[in-house]
Amino acid sequence: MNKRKSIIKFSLIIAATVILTVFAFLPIKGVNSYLAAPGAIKANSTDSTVSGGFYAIYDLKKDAENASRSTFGNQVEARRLQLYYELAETYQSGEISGLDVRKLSNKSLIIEVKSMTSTQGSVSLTDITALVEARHTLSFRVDDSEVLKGRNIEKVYMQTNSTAQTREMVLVLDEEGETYFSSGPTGVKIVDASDDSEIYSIPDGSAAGNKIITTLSSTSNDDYIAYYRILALSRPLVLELREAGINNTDSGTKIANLIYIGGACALVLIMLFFGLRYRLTGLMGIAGLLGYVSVFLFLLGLLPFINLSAAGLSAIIFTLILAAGSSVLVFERIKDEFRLGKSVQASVATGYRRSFWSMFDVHLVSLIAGLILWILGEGVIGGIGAVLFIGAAVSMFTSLVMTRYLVKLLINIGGDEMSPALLSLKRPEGFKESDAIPDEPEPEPEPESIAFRPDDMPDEEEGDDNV
Amino acid sequence: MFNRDKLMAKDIRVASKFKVVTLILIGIIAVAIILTAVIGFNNDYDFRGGYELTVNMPASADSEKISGLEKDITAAIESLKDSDNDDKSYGFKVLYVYRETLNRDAATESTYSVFRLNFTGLSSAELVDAVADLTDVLKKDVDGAGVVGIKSCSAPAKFWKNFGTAVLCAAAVIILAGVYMVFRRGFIHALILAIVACVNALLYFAFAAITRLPFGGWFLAVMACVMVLAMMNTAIILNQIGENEKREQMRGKLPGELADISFKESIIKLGAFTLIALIAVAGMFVGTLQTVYFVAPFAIGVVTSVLTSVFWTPGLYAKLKDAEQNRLNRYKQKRK
Repeated sequence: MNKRKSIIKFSLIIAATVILTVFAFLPIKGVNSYLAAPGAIKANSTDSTVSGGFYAIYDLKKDAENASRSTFGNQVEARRLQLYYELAETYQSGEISGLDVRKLSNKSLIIEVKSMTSTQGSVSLTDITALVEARHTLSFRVDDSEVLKGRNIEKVYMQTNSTAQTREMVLVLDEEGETYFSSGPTGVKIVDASDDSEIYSIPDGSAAGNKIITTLSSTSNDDYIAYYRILALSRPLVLELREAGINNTDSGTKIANLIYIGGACALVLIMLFFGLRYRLTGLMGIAGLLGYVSVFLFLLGLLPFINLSAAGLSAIIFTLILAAGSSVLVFERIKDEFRLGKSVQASVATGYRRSFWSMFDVHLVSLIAGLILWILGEGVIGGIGAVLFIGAAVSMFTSLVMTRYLVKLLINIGGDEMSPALLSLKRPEGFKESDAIPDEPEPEPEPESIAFRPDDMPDEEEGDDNV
Repeated sequence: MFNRDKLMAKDIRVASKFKVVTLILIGIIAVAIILTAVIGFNNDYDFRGGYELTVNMPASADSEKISGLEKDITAAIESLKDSDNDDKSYGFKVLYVYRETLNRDAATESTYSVFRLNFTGLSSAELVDAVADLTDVLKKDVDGAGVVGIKSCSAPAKFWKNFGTAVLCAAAVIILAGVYMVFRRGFIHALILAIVACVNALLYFAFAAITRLPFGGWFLAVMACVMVLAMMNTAIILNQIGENEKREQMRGKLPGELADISFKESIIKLGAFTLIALIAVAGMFVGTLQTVYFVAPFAIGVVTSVLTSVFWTPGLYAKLKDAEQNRLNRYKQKRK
């Protein structure tokens, strides 16, 4: 590679790294202080920092009622919508605004109210919790007499009638329900038995076999609200409060600060060490580290399933150690090779080749650990595993590819005139240049053996089972 | 510190110190077991179960009154149990009270304090009612104070569940890494990696028990990282040993000599790697000023990984290689 091309490539990579790093640290100001789980924040969220209001997180309770279900995803979504509409109906705009009900996972919901102060929040939290935790039951009634129960509904779903170009709600009934509706009843209403409020009036004649198919109005939301209420309450989930709190400064920002400021301090100290110990090579290591940090932060922000937690800080610092440590392994190896008498170029080439497997092994151990923790671990442990896996993967790329390429470009640019002192390379005391090893192509490495066997170990004889 | 000439000139024999290092490790673990048996674990508040309340204190609050609140809150909660209102007979008990001051809210100039009151026996609906009552009690003591947050804390059962998960994960990591090492360097290297990882974990627990680190979510998090750190250090030294095993000039060297030479050759790399880890931890301390929940556990982890991976691994390698050689000699004699 000629010098000019090396300079161009080198400049482009450094410029890209600097730009990426600047953009990676910009989202600090936009970090969302909302807590997704105890002690967790969602970094790089597009939501601006909220200045007031409160949130409450509800989890599926371990309960005999819930235990019978195999999946909760659809039910939680239905419950989310049902709660949203109920809360919006219950509270007038003067009391509450910025209401949001979101699904955190298949087993938890968060209700967020953005415009109430803390003292008001505690009162409303009581009402909201009562509403969320209320056990509703559906009832089919004719003239206030119960004819069927919610448990007679086996399934609820929406479908499109392509002929009429309308949306339809389908209630699939069990045997008891099918038998009842086969008699052609009229005036059947679906009611919330907990407060006797009417949810939906079933149009006469809409039953066909074990299904009730009704057309949903395209001009009003009421039918859709009714659909979600029926969907949610036909198999009501039992929820309980996990956490509630104010939606502003303290915990979320504190955790964000822990991660960014603490990590930045660690990074600065490590960069100082690199510059002092390895000089120009150390600067390439710094570029590699910044590349690692920027890609890592971007991935953490972009990937939706990664929730940074305060405890995940330890995994972040660990991956930083991994990235920096890998470069240290190589740079020390380069120094060793130079001390043996090789030229600068040969030392760099041999140093990288001989350190490759050490670096690969340490990264692979981290990848394995991260993957196992991610898959098997829950909550905090799972989050740490995810961070560890992603950090190790990014570090593998930046250490084995990016930094190596940068050092190679640097050596090309410096050429034969490059002073070893610039790379912090030193011959041992008493070394004579006449003892220097001329640059030769490195011999092919011996193939890796499966196991190390001492010379005097006897070969196994065929049929010998007593080894 | 990193003077290679002086280092290579020194006669460093780590492999022969294997018994001494092993006795030190066993001693530390034994002390920890005795301490734990007598005093017990330092269960983090998070793992005593119940709920944590965040209380807002106005700037005008008397600091003496705030510091006295810990006792007052306990008394206030106890008094709620004897409430005349039959609808509010709270069956809770306070397990733990701890106050930590968080940052100040510049807009209202108030300070948030976290009172970790571990309630048990309350449903969440009852808790919300209790919080409203507690707010009234707090306001009587400190004008303007209020409960602004409630957070559930893991029950002790969950800690042991998390702990069990962590152990399972650690076992899976050790097995998979060991399998990889079998193909890379052979069975003995894989065995060393597995043994060092396990011993390092035990040693980490021992140090944590002796220094009374709180066993909580942070602890498990750092422990996972420390285990991987130890395995990485071990992999570095095993790679050096593996390289030396293949060198012509090393053929005929005893395993102990090979281990010592490999130790000397890799000590600078390991020293720099450890220094990076300590620098990172120091940076974290400067940035966060947190010691108990992060810096201390991580620093202890660096120490344990150095003890086991750097000072114990060469001796372990020599012992296992000698054992393998003895087994081969016995086999040869049998065949004769």
